[in-house]
Amino acid sequence: MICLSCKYAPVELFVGFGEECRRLDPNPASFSCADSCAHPNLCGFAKAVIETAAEEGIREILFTDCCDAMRRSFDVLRQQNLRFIRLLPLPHKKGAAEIRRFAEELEQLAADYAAYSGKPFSRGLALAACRKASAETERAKGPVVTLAGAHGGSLLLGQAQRALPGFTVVDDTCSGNRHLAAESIPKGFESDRAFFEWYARALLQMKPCLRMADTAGRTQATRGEAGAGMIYHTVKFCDYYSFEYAALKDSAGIPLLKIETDTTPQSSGQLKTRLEAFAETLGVQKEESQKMEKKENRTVRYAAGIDSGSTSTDAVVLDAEGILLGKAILQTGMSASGSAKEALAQALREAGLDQSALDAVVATGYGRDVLGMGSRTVTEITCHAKGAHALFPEARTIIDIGGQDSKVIRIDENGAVLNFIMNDKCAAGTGRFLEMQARALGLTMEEMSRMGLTWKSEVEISNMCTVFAESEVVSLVAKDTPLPDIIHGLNRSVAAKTASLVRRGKGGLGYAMTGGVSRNAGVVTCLSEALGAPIQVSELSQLCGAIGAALIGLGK
Amino acid sequence: MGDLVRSFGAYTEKQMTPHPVYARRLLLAAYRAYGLKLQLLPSRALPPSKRYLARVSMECMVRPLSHPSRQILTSVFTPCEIFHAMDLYPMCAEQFATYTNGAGAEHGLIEAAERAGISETFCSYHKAVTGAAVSGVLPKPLAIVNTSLACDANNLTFRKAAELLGAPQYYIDVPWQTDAAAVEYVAEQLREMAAWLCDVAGQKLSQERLRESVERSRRTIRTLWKVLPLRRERYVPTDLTSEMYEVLMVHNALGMPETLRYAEMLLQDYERAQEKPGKKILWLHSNPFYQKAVQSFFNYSRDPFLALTEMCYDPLLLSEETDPWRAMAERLVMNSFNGPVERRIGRAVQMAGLTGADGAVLFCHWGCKQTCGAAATIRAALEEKGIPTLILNGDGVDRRNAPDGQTSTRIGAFLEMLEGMP
Repeated sequence: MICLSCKYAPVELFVGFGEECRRLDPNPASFSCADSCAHPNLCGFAKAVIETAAEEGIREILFTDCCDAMRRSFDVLRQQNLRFIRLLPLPHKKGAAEIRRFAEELEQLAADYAAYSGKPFSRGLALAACRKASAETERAKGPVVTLAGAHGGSLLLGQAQRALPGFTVVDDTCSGNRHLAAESIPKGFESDRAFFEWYARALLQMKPCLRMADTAGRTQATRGEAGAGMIYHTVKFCDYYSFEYAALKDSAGIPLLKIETDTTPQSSGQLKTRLEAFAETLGVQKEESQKMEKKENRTVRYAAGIDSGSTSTDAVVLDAEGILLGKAILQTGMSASGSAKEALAQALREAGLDQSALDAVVATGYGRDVLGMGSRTVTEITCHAKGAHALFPEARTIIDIGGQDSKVIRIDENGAVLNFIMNDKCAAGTGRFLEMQARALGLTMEEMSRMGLTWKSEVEISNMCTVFAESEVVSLVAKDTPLPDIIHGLNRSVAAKTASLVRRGKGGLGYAMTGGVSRNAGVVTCLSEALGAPIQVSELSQLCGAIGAALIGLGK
Repeated sequence: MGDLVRSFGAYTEKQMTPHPVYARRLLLAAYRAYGLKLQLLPSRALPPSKRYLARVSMECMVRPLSHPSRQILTSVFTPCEIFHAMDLYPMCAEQFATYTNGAGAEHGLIEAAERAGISETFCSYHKAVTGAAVSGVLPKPLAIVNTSLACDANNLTFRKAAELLGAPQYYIDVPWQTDAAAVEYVAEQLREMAAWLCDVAGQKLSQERLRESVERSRRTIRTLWKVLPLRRERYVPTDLTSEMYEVLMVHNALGMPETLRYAEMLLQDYERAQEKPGKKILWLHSNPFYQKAVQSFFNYSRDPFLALTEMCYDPLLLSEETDPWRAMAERLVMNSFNGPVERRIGRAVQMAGLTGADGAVLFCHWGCKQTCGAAATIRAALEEKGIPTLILNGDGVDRRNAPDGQTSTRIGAFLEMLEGMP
């Protein structure tokens, strides 16, 4: 079985040898091998290919010359003991000279494979495979959402499909939109050479990926075929598709969600939140949510909201008027469900109520689906928007910096989400970033927050990477730099990162901040300076997600 | 970075979004002023050749930036003899990015690109140029000509710049193969590009002047080859910035009379040099010329001596090719960055042998998959040949990705390790 890594790979050529082809769709748990035999800063897909080849002992593989990362993966795997490994040079243009050169390369590849396998090449079999690959795919019935951009694979496609019941998610990513663009396929060819010339042209005329020189019309076509919404995927350290996203983001004309992954399943929690929040903007409601809504529509006297975050678990109890009766903030610790139960119990005690008095319990946050409390779940995007609107009715841009991620949510005058943007997997600019630096300085978060306000001179913490920034902090400590100055430098660093996220999310005046970091006055001041506008905070800011969840429970 | 540069950079960055043309003028004024400083008060620590190099490099930036209607925006690997023969001024995109760092203003451009949606992991040389195009700091050139070599960023930056600036673009596809057919394929594209450019510029290309320019390139390359073995036993002071200037000279400025003169002056400096170098370092890829932690080890240093930079020798192809089109194409196709990594390794081993390098530093510039993906393979191969190699992660442009503490420890420990070796 020959493994292939790219849509330009000549699948049909190998079918002509009677071979089975496997399109690589790797999702390794880690990059322990790829990081050491290549480099951590290589594209996630390329690293996943290297990792999977090593893990599974792949023996036959064909690379195409599609990008730097694939060229280097080829170099790395060539050092291993593979039986058949080739790189097929792929032109960037598709004129007559390029088609001729590419046809020669395909013919050479066929000759190499015949010599390796001892099998003859059958034009008939290859041609039949070409007919299959050029057949029109059946149009999806019902509304469509397109998954576009860089390779997402079955993992991402499956997650998107699960988050969007009622929609068909169509794979238009670079690896998913393989369709031989043959206008008319001849019945036969006089020679292999004639076949390969025709085949080379058909391959080069597929919907171009971003590495091709001529991509005119591609972005327009992507936009035109998108359906009701578009999920635009980029892979960490693959830069091609961020350029198309940059062109689409202001002109898509439909709901657009940008997500970035490194192909590992590790970020699936964050991914789920985004996909479900996106589904909410498309009007999708979970089945249990619909049932709960029916139940809640009867009479709701008391509702609870639980926000199960990566660092803290927050719970509130509201009455029918939305008055806060009880609240609790606990460390999430080792058990999300245990902390949620305890937080709810504390909030109920403060409210002087028994759990049976609750007509609705709505859970949000990363742990929302594992609480096992028979509650309705809503993403923290929607909950933060709802909660922030209640706390700050004038706010239009909500900046939420939590332990694991940062979000910018734009809302309308009713608290409905207009748009949102989140940081990616990296911890830079999140609460975790500050926690790690506090640990390096031997301070608690409260001490850090206090000391950050008493700085005297500005210190530059230039690195946004959590690990490198910690190294900078250690260097500054070694130089006897006063701690308040270092903390102020860190606060400015978080503020700069967040301000950049706000600009990317097109946030406008009417800023409010929520999440645990909103309690850090130093960060809030620096962010206000970076944005050139005041930021509203509240003592209840950290409870914003839980409040929003409870309000949803009340049907507000 | 001095306080003056920091203040200038911060002020210029503030102007980039509301007043991009003004920001460009500020940058141009700064480059002119620095050019004047290089002329009147050149560095005493550097030999005549390197002082001349600094002046010419600055002119290679000021000329195209002040004459956009004659400017050709190019990638560093694009052969530029055609432009020199037409009195057009190539402006190397990577050079533009590094100069904005020199002015303390790179961050404003990088942020403009990231704000527009360009990924943070994109090569920072190209991100700064993309940011300049997005913000309008980059002027509309007469034309854009770029190669697919040596990295993917070329496929993105120049297309985006062409779109945003409304400039015509020609793309030179350099195939992965390094055979005669590939050379002819590239030569044909160069011929086509020249004809296209004549239409765009509304002028003719003198075949005679092109021939002269390519011949000058050949003489320059031959002269630089004579310098290589002298580096083994002679010490001529250099610094990280001069190495980056030389990268420009052997790429986009190749074929200019000034480049030939520089090569001849460098040869003279080496022939006259008396001092012997200490431990010699072969530096692979570009360098973070602005970073104090790296400067402190290598600038003007005899021991360790920065004996040679990879990007100063990658296009130095000794060839008897007399056809100017094929000569330029051959230089591109046979470049050590093209093809499988063995070609780059082979060239590094050859250069380490010629210069007697005691060790190599492989600089993994942020976002350069071309190099970082090959880093472990290159290190393993060089170490097998007895050349200890340090993989150094950093950034050639964006100082946010340049942690001084870590860098200093890594280089320091590597040099201590070399000291302990026979």
